[in-house]
Amino acid sequence: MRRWTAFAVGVLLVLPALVRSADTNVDLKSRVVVHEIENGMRFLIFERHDAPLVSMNILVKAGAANEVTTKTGIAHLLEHLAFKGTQTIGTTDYTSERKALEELDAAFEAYHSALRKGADSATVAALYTEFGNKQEQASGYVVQAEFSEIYERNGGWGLNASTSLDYTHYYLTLPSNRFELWCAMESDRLNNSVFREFYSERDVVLEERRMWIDNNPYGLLYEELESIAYKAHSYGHPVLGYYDDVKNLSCQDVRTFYETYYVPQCMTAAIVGDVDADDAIELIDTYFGRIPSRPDPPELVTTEPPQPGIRRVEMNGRSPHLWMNFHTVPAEHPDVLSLELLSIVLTSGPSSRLYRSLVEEKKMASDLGFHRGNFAQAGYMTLVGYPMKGKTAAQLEEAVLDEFMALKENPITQEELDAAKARWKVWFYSPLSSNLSLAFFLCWYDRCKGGWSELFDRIEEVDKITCQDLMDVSEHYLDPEKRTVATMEVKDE
Amino acid sequence: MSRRIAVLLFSLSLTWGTAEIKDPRSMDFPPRLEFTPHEVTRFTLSDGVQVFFVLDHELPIVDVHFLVKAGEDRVPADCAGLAEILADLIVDGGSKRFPKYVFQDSLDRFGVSFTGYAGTDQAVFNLHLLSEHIPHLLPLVVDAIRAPALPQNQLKLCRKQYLTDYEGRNDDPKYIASRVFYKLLYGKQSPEAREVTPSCLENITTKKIKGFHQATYRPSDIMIGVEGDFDPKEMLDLLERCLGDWQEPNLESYPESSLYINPASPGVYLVQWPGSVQSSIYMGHKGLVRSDPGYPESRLLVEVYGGGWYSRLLHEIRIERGLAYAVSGSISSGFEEPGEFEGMCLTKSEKTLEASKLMLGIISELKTEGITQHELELAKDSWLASFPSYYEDPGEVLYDRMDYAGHGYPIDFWDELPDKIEPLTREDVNRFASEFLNPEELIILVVGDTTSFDGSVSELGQVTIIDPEVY
Repeated sequence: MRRWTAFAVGVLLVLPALVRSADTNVDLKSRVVVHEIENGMRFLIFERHDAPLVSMNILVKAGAANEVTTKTGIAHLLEHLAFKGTQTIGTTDYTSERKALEELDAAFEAYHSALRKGADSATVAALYTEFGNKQEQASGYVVQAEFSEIYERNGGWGLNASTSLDYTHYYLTLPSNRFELWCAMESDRLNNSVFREFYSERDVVLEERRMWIDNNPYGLLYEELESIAYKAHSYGHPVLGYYDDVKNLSCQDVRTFYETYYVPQCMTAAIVGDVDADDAIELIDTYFGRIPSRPDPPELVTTEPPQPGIRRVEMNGRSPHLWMNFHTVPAEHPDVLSLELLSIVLTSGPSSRLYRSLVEEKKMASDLGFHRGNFAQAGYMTLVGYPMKGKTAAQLEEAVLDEFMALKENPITQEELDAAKARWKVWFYSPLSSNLSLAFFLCWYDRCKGGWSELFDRIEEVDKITCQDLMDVSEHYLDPEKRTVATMEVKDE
Repeated sequence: MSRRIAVLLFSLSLTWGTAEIKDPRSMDFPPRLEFTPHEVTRFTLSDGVQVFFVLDHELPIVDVHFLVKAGEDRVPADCAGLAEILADLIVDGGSKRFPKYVFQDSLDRFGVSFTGYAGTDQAVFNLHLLSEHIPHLLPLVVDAIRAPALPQNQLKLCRKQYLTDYEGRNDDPKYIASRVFYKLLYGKQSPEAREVTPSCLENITTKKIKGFHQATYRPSDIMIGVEGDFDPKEMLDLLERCLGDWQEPNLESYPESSLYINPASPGVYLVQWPGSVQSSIYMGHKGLVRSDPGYPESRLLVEVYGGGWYSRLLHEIRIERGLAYAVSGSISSGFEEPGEFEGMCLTKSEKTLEASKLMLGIISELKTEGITQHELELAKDSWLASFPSYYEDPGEVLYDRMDYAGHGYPIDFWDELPDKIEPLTREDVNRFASEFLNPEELIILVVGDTTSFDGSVSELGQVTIIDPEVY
């Protein structure tokens, strides 16, 4: 209590003339041009002529959540394979290559099936040799990395893609005079991808998994946390997929996923930069208009049941570590803003409650913070804490819970809320200055929240939040009896 | 069926909308795009502080960057971390006029982000806030930089945080690899590679921090860059009011040490890490200085070596064989001293030797055979066409121009590069590669579980074992 009185007095002394953060708003919303083509694919164009560059992001609403058990990792593997080219790019002769790829997949299936069924080693070896021969045959038609090379030759910058639970997105920045190149490449990729070099790329993905999870103690801990946080919903699947699932995926699995979920009505593309919207629309119609309409993909129907009690996973490692997860709400839910502000009040900045108490005063943690997950059908707030030297994860966990209890006795003040709103506004504006991050946010709001315009409406919504709203969401969601905890402790020698 | 039709239409270049569908492989664009970069204006305050402005009124935010020649290269090795801790204390400890909690609460109340760190050759502070708050909050931050309070309790906290970090330095084998590799390459005591050890932390006292601050934080060694939504005249007046009376101290600044201090001998080094399912492989030697006449050639060589999707490292190790997700190569160039030439790859334990040998083969082949004409054209096209991307973010342009100015380079060093790269021939690049690349000088580090390797690391050369607990 005394701390906050001192805080208020201090600020009054230092900044007598400073008014509370004004409702600065900038009319970015009216600059967005929306264009939807007949097949249902939506385009959001934002002209910005500061530099001769244009950034593009395509969001496909298909991610790890759309996978089924035993086939985890498909969405991510598909994202990798989508760089292998199309029926025209990356091949010397697609007609012959297609036949070779069919034979290759059949050879793999024969080898894999024999292995699974425990065939004798000579049979397995012979089938493996045959698989190798077919692989060599198919590779004879491949023009390696041609898809990426075309972009790079044309000054493509930041060419990449990423997969999450709800979506996959593909992005890059190009010199603005090459916008048509993007239209040609991406409309082809979204419609005619060929998953060549499947087996070597699957190995690459397994290396990625080793890097982030299997050879990384914290990655492993996080995977465990996710898997126990969700009992029914596929949000508990790792985006990278489980090792054996990925190893057993077939090219046909990926093709089926692509044909089911990569449909134009589930895609939004954002184009931000030095383009003329009218010219861009003409090219968009020409190139993306050739993607045919397809049936809607199946909807996710599983709802995660309420968590009945505490869930916990404990691991041993070289340093202590604490993850404490609480289920919250889906991205579209009105409580999301209050939860964002609550996480700022609690852990953002040196004067935030938990930082000042647990890092500065009690020296329980070296650092801590909230990580928020906003998904289409669920959400979470996870406290990530690094215990200070000499402290354990269990001690930090207890101290964090004490702070949550103290919140009830010492409610959030108007000063804290105003400070959180000011920080929120700085965070709100910061990513919008980058073409690529604005393109990303436009797409994400369009497909995973309540629509792209909500991105800009939030600046007004945030001012309506009250202290009571923050107390309510804290009471409702940060329930210690419904926490999911993952700890790493140092094992006694 | 519909897909087949689409392909047919594609290949026949028929029209679908109003424009003609073209094959991306045959699209032709001018290689270079003419444009005017963001204008950066430069001023000098009355005490000599250099100030740079770049305006951008689209969003109501401002970034202020402070670059101070007070990096770890001016700190004695037995106090490694002193410059870093000073930067931490400035950010979190406030000033004499605005003590710690008043300072922290004032910035937090208005959502300000004030961060700082000390790198090898400079300390950097970044202030990020809504533009309306600048007139009131900039003076607080400048005061903390000019006259930090250095509170004892904050120093104690910093020490504990650094000790915690030190305890966790071997948690992740990837991190062990990069930590050990740079120590081998630059030397254990190098300001580029050394660590903040418990004994260094004991040596770092308030008195030493104060002495370092008095000598190194001086008007002649500080530059300020402001980017975003502000009025240049008002900003200049504000900075003049905050800084104009700063007197140059009557004492010498701390001397800079070399980046390379007793680097390890070329050879193979091994960290045995039981249970690791993936090996980290690093190899490299000295890079070059940015003023080196071969710098433009190095930009093209690195594209072919490990820069892009078509580079040899990515092609041979990732695309062709699926041996790694993370594989890359770079040639970094210091302003005054050479940076490093390096390659890195993370591959499953059972392929450690295969990947290592491929990496070595690529380096040797580039030295002896050089790059092909196709690679030269690809690298040149890619480099020249992507050149404008450097100018997308006005903040980055500002920061880079300050960096060049601070190191005595022409402020438009980068702007001139396309004219130097465009005329380069294959012979030029290969001459450079042949002189620059030196497989005999390579330091090779492997971190992994040798029990599952596909051979003995000694196949790569004479092996020195490193214990990461004490290295």
